[in-house]
Amino acid sequence: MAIKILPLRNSFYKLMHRSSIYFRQNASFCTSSSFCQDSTVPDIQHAEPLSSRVGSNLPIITSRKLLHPPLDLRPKQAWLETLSVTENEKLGIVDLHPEIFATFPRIDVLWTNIHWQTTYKKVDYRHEKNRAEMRGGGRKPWPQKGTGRARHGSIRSPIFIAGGKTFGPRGPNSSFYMAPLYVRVLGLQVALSIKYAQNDLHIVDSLDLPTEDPKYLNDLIESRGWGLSVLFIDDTDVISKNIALATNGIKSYNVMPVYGLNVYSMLKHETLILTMAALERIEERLLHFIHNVDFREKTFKKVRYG
Amino acid sequence: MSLQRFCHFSADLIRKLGIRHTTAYRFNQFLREPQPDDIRTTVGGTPIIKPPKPTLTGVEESRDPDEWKAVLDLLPNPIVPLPPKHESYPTPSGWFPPQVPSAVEKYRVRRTRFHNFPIYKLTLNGGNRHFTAVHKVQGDIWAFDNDLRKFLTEITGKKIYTRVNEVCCKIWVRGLHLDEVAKFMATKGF
Repeated sequence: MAIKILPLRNSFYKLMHRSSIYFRQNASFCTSSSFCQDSTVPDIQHAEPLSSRVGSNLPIITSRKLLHPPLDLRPKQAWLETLSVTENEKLGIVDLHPEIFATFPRIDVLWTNIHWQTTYKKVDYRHEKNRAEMRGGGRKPWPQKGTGRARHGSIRSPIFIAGGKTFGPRGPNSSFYMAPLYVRVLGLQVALSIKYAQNDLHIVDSLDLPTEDPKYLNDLIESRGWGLSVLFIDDTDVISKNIALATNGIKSYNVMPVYGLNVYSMLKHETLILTMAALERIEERLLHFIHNVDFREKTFKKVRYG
Repeated sequence: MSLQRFCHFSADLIRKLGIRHTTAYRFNQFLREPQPDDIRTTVGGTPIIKPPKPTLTGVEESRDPDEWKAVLDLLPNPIVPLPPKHESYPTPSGWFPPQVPSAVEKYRVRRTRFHNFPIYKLTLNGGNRHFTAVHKVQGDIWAFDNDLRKFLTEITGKKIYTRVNEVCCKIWVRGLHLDEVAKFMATKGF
């Protein structure tokens, strides 16, 4: 099916190349099966009881209660995996909310979020002195008439060699602005949906590792094909010693609490791992703002200090 | 991300190592979740809730949970609830729920958070140009555009000009055809 692309600004093309967003054959959003996509679920009846091997007595979850379930969309499904063994054991299947994990891929919303994240922290510290701020230049250098030279009032005027700059950069200027809340919420939804659609999203029971050796984590991730960079998201900002020391050793594996989840990091890291507790929290918070009645944005006024 | 930020420190360890003023300690505030029974009544000795001045009318303070429930009932609901199930549609205001599943699979237009169609009117150039905007067009937007134009030309009898924004999932139709576009959405079951 031919997709006509309108002539876009350069920034969109750069985003598409840099973040390498591409849609694999199975994840086309324009076909009839797109909105009710069934992931290929391997048959788990032949496997041995997992609880005995894994060492934890987790039941096989076949349904999870979703908050605000939409009437017109069916929930998506994902495997519940574990980090406690190197083998790719599945503990069960969890339902994912389709409004969060099956949103239409809005790359313009992704661009807006990434542009906001990279721009709002920038402060331009460049400052050029003007003729009033340059040292000296308060006195008339020579009399108005009689010397035969051009008339001047100050040696620091812009036409002089060491004079002040007329229209130079003036002081610290901040590029601070806030993208609208609902755009930022939609950005998270879109990023999570894209990660799920491209098979880069995995749900684990918890971030508990058996050892603190980074090699164990590295072997686990490589054997499962979980991409070069992995972002682990946990519920709280307190993690166990093993995962802390294991991820401390490898730069491309990073751990974050739920409140640190952002579009830039999700696209920067190839694979996204969510714990069950993190998944619950993310869904609850995002759905609160998706169905929110009346959120008033704070008005940020630009104030110059000093 | 520094390792210290995520490691669990006990209060004894913090005291022993004397790291009260480091970055790690500042995040100690997150290690203990505030409990519902933590009620701060003083800040450095001065009470937060001051007693009323004797010249003003006296106020009775209450921390009764049943009375608080009555207060919560009065507060507005921050979440838009699902519309209640009516006996017949459309409702007296003209609202009807979306068909599940919809009549078309190539594209979909989801409702807004207030369960309405995402159809808006735009006025540009100081009131000379009027557009009907349709947002949140998911799926094959070009097929939606073709079907919409066919429907509108039949109903209005005029030439319909549209502007398709594939990236932002929006369509602008020249002129004000809000009711006609809403009828088109209804026929598709959105």
